[in-house]
Amino acid sequence: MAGKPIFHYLNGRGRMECVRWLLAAAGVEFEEKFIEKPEDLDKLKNDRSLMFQQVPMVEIDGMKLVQTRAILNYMATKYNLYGKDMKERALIDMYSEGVADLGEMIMHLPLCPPAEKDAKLTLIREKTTNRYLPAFENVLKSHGQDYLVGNKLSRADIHLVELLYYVEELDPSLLANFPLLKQALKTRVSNLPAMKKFLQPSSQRKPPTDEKIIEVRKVFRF
Amino acid sequence: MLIGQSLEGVELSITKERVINPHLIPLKHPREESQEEIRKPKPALMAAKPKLWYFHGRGRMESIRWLLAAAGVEFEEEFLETREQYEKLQKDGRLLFGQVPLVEIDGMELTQTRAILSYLAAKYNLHGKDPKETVRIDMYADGTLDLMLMVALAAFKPPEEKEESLALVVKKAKTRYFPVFEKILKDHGEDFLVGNKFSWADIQLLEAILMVEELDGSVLCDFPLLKEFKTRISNIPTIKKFLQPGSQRKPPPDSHYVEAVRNVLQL
Repeated sequence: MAGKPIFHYLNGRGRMECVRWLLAAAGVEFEEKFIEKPEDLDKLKNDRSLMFQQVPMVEIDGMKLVQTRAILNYMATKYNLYGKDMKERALIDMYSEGVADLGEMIMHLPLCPPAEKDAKLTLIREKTTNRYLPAFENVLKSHGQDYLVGNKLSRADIHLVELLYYVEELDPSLLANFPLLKQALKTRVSNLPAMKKFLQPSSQRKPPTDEKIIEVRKVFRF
Repeated sequence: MLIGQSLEGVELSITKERVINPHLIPLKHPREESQEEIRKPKPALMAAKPKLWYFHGRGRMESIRWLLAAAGVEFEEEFLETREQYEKLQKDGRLLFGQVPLVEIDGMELTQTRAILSYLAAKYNLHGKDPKETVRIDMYADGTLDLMLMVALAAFKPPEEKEESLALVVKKAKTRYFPVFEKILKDHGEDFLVGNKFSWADIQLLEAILMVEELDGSVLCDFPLLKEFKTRISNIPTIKKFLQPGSQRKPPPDSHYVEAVRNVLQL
């Protein structure tokens, strides 16, 4: 069925944003149905559309997919962003999982109780500077190629560049010592025509999580 | 000059900079080898057994042990018992993000649990025959893995929180996960979750069932098809072997295990 994929989620970043980035980078148009009231979520549950009663859910190719990773894996395969063989895929997965781990910490920061926020932020800074960014800078340095794996754009590059934007939002100085990430990869990927379009205002890219989103999420106990 | 090896193991490219790309180079750093040694066939390139680096317990490595065992693949284990061992792994650049699990396989040093599981599932033909089967396996496996990681993490919480967490696991199993799998089995009436063929999803589900049963022995009482599934999958010869005492299967986490992990990671 050649309809556009349909994304079911809140009107915010959360766990769906990385999927939006991936499809945008692949140049694939998608529709979005936003969950704005508890009734919207109930309807999806009652329709038996949510396998584990959770969103994200993506309607694609006659299926209703849940579980962010399963969705990303399927799309990366479909749109040729998953390397050329099993070994490249393993590297892509390893890098993507690392990005997801740091991304998860950053994603949860706005939901942190105020008393814990400072400590959380310190931890994020520390992991960003000492664990994650050096690992990726090193990968690029070691092979001197334009992209993380196989000298070709893959989901790993897209996920990483998305993360770099969030790190920059948090504190631009965190990127200072990582020229291959900041100047090379981020610029290169941002300039790809499909990405350039997505990075412009009024695209389907979502803004940083604000108070309104936090309240909505609390209602749904996300 | 450092010799870096490509993933294919065929080309040798010489990089000008002394940069360590640990997960792509063979087990021994090239600069440690004499010319003579470089000419000898390297163990890493021959069909060596996968080698698992982790603590002496379940944690995030257990699903990997299950997958290898179910696939009938022999593997070796190195247990992290001291801080020094862990620091050496880090210093040698073998842990991409400074974390275990680490699995040495096919000339690669893989970390990140899901990356490892995905690679193994594909390698041993347990990941479906096409993308639509693969995505279903991924959906099911991700769900059960989430559940099992909750159990793994609960061990590290203070007693009251731990009890709460484990109670929540049982609740989620009974209300969110097991009903889904019971229905899947009911709807297609087949022996396995996906494509009428044994896959990674079946291994994960069995592992999850057994883990939750350890917390609440009655958890399957409303799920007759899952009971049959449990028996059926447990009787697969490789799995039957793994379920016997003396296998590489690890026991549930206890205070000794938690202490050992805290000591190594300095938590």
